[in-house]
Amino acid sequence: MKRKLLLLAAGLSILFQLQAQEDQLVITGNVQLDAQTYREDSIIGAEAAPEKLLSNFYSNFLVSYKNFYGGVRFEGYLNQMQGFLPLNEGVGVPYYFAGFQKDNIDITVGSFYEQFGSGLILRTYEEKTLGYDNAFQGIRIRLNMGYGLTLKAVYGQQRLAQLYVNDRASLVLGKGIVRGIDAELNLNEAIRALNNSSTYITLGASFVSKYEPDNNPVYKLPANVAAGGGRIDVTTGKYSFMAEYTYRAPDPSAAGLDNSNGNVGQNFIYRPGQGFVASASYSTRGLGVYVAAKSIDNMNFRSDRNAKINDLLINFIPDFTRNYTYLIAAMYPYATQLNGEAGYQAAIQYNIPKKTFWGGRYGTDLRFEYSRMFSLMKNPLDSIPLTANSGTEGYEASLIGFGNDLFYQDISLAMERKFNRKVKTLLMVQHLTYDNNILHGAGEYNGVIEAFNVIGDVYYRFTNTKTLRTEVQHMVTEGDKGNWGSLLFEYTLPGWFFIVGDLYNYGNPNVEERVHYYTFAIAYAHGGNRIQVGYGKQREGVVCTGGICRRVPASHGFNISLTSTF
Amino acid sequence: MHRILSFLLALTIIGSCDTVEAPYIEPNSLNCNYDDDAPVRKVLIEDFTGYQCVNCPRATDELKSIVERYPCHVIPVAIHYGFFAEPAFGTEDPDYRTPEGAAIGEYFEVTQALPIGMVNRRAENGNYNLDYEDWAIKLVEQVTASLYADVEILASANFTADSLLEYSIEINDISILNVNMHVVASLLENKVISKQKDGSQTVYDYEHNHMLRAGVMEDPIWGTPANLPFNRNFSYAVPSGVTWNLDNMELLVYVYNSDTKEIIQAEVFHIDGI
Repeated sequence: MKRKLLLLAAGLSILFQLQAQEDQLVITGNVQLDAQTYREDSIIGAEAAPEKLLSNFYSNFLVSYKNFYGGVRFEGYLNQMQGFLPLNEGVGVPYYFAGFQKDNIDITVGSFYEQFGSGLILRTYEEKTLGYDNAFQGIRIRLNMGYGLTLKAVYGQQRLAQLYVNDRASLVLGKGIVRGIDAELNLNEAIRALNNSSTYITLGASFVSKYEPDNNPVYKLPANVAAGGGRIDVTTGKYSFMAEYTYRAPDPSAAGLDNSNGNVGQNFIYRPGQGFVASASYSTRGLGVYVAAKSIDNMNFRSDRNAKINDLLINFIPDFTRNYTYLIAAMYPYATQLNGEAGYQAAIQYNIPKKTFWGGRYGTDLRFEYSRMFSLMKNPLDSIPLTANSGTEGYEASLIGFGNDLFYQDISLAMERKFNRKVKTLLMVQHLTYDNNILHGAGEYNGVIEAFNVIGDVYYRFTNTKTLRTEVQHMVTEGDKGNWGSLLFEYTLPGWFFIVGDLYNYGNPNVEERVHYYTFAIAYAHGGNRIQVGYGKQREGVVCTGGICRRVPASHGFNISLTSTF
Repeated sequence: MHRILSFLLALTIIGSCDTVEAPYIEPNSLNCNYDDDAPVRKVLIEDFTGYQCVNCPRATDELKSIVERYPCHVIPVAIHYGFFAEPAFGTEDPDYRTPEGAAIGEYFEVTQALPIGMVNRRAENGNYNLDYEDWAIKLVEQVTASLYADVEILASANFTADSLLEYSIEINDISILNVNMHVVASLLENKVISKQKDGSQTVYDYEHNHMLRAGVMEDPIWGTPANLPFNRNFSYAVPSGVTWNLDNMELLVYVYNSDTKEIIQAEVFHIDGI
């Protein structure tokens, strides 16, 4: 949660930094290009692309002058790389905005992203690695009312995709109109007695309404659907705590029509949605403890009733699971279940002091992670099966009525230790339980995967400018595609990176599919520019960030990645 | 400035939420009277069943519930099929299986593990078999995607004194579909009171409805090409010796895509008595 808030804050700070440079025209921006060739590989299921080469690219240009600011983003899909949804086409400018900030008011018109609280009823953002972008197109007003009260209001429609309309790549919006207002009150500023308190308390309340005409001849649908929520954030000394509750009025939609994964929800049912999240942390020198819990029921909230997958989501459910970067640890990531889920997460980080027997000369970091996600108990109404309850009030459930279906469980322990000036290591063990049917959808393997992973990471510094990082990873599982092993070397010179890796599915029950997914890559970075060229095989799988996921098809070919900031 | 925010706040709250009270189905949806000139899409649900199948009444109840919830969008058919429909050895239980039902089941690789069904004979990942819990959702999926049908089926039918079924079928292609179509007509019988296993019990006066009795075209399984304009008369002689109650018969007519075999439109018609 904190990480997401930090990211949001970082995004906003770019904007405010621009504005801080008064009386100067400031132009900043960035370019990102990803391209890949696709060749057919029947063993891994990779398909060739008729175009041979596919590419996605983006370029942001931000300007500020005195109290004014603005920006555009060019996006190009020539043609869109495989595995991204929704489909985007052509080269266009689907993101553009202008605004001004003066005194206590900040007004943006055009495209913008916004988040209320933790996002349970409203969050728009973009994550290009997922192909996710639900930006608003409309107007946003932020107002500092004084006395610790900040108001935000948004009014707009959401981005669906960039598509050819009359042979021109155009921004296509969802049909619904979203209106929302958020108030946040910092009690330390509002109440004089708390001005100098070391306990910081912030209260927040949000209200969101969407409008979409009822043109469905089968169901009587509410054209206006409201959602609201309240939250509290308390920080005192080494402790912090936050909690948020949200409620969404009944919003019958087709979001749950694809019930192939068994966790059914909105199949045009007239049931309200509810969500509750809470987290607490304790942090002191050498020790950090974080716990979080959530319970979500029927919280699909989209600006188009027929939208599915990740399209036109107004809200966002925090995932409360660890997003690993190691290839094998990230192989089975958690996908947030908008139709209903409950779960909790705990993380403890402890630094064994240096110059002790266990801590060694430089100290040793230990990190324990536990997360468990499971179903809510849903009881059918009038004996109507959950899969056939369209046009009814759906089912009975409670945010504290937990079901018996375990969706996901992750237990990991990592130890990171620096041995001397040249060698630093990380060792991680992980046990994962993953319901492939619920989290990945109907596919080749519909069972529960139990996996035991061991990951080693050794960093060796030859000189101050030459390093070699070696990753060794291993997964033992009888589920899905069986055991995996991985070995990766990353050699770094000033400005240069050389990567050689192999992911080997040596335990695949199908002997013909025991494939080496090898990778070769060279990257060069200088200043704000980085270019990487690689070649290899990509396995079919799922990639998730913050619980939002995208299916990644198998691929085989060259890839190039270019990023540049200015 | 505060006025702007007050205005936005008021706008948000005023237009915030509509409350919809049950029943949630549109009245038009119940009487099928959306638009007098446009035919609505009707979905054929084929319930493969058998009198010895202990779980089949659950599927039948679900189909009945679906008909009650979506009366203008579903055409139910019960196909007695497979070894669960085979009369038990040494008994004189009636045999409701038909060659047409067997051929359909065989073609679409319908499992003998009943209850099972097909919704418009649409396959997912090459599989036509659908558990009864999925029937409603597949129906809703198809109806909400396309409320109005591309094809209109009109028919009239009557039995003559010598048990001859005379019927006419007219097919109108509303959207000029660019697909090859076939039309099939079959007889269904309602209110057949007979034995049925239901869980651990045997119900001796179970009411079987929408029971497929026979195909009534020259090709009783796959029908005849529906080359437009299609307006033809047919006749069918009820076989002698059958125990059908002609007063409870209906004429099922459906049009399907000749290439994919997926049902495009279906209708069921009352048959005038003798």
